[in-house]
Amino acid sequence: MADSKDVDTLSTELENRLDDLFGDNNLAPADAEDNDIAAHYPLAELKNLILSIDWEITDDVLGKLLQQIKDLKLTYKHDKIVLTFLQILNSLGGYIQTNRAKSHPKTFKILNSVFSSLDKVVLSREMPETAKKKILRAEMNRYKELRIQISQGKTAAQPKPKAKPARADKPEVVKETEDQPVTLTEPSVQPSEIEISGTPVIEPEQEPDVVTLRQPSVETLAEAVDNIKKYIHDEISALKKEIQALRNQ
Amino acid sequence: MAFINLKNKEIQVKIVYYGPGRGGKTSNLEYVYKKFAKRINTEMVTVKTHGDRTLFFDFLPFDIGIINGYDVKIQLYTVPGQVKYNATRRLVLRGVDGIVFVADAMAVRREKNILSLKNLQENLAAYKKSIFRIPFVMQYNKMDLQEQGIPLLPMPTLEKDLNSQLKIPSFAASAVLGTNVVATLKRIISLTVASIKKDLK
Repeated sequence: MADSKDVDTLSTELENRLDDLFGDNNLAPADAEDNDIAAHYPLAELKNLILSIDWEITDDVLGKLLQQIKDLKLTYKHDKIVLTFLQILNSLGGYIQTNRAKSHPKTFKILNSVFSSLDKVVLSREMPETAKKKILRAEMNRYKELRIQISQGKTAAQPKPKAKPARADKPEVVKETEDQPVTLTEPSVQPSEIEISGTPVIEPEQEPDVVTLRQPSVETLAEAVDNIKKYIHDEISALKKEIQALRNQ
Repeated sequence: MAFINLKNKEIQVKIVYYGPGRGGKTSNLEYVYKKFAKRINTEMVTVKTHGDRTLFFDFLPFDIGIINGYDVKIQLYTVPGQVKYNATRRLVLRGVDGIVFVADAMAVRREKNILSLKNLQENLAAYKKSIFRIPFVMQYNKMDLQEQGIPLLPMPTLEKDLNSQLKIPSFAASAVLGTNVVATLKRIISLTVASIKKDLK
């Protein structure tokens, strides 16, 4: 009984305190200014789509991405620097659309990096042309490096390649501007093996069952291990950079 | 178990916002931080990837003052939702006292929610914690998208998918608009503090 009273007192005290902290009295309205900026941000949709690719690669998202780039090319047809950024994004988007999950691991980082630089250039209206060109050049160099790495990777993996569509193997040369349809051959996301309805979502309070998976081939496993190694390496590099940047702040 | 300093009469409560990637965990914290910054008088720490996605976690600590003789400090964390960051998720869950599961109400995210909830159960089990016993609140986020014509899962479906076994308090919410963000937070704090108090006895 005493315990129950104690808990009641605690609850009341806590509720009151939380009401004081998070009540609606004397609060400024939510950031209207931020919303206003967001509404006039020309790259908002492009940003959404690039973030979406980071999460999953689907026909829908890639189609929208390429369409959005096309639209922005019209918007910025008189701005050569922005146009070049968009061409790089277009090329990377086309490459991802063809190769999907098998795209070179650095592609997604470069896609994000190019977008980030484009964002900087578009939002910083005061930025001098030389500074914009410097940023663009850095991204161009990254992009070129990626192309070389993809070419080298292909040569190493397939010393005697047979006839194959060039577009599917690496990103286009940036100068190309025409959008060409690419045949997609692989599914974007592996379908999950879980049942959505009819089975419990979470395991009851007991030892979970061992999930039985199909045995993958040795080649698939080797490829997966290789991908994981590359991925871990890239992630660690990115983390180091983030930590360094935080330290420098 | 919460960090409790009996000498200084101080309790640190760790609450983790869990859920699938792009579900709105960070948006929950951002809303709280932006709207109540002056009252909670703190800084939100966040580490993001190149594309504004949570890489490690977001961290929002604040003090709710003296409750029952104890100075209660709340620490809100989010985890990175993407499947690939499971090690980080597990790390953030260490020492967790309460959990908010931010489910994405979009119909296309149904499977992702389920996988994430299963993943939570597995990761809690690694710390010998049961998803059935930890203070837990469910939030169905992105309800505002209905107005934009985006197909959402009906509440009964979300409840059946995610809450039929847990039977925990749940809220339909919109983290970007702030709908039920505070209600979710207040509920998880209440549940967690009550649970800690019970453990202390």
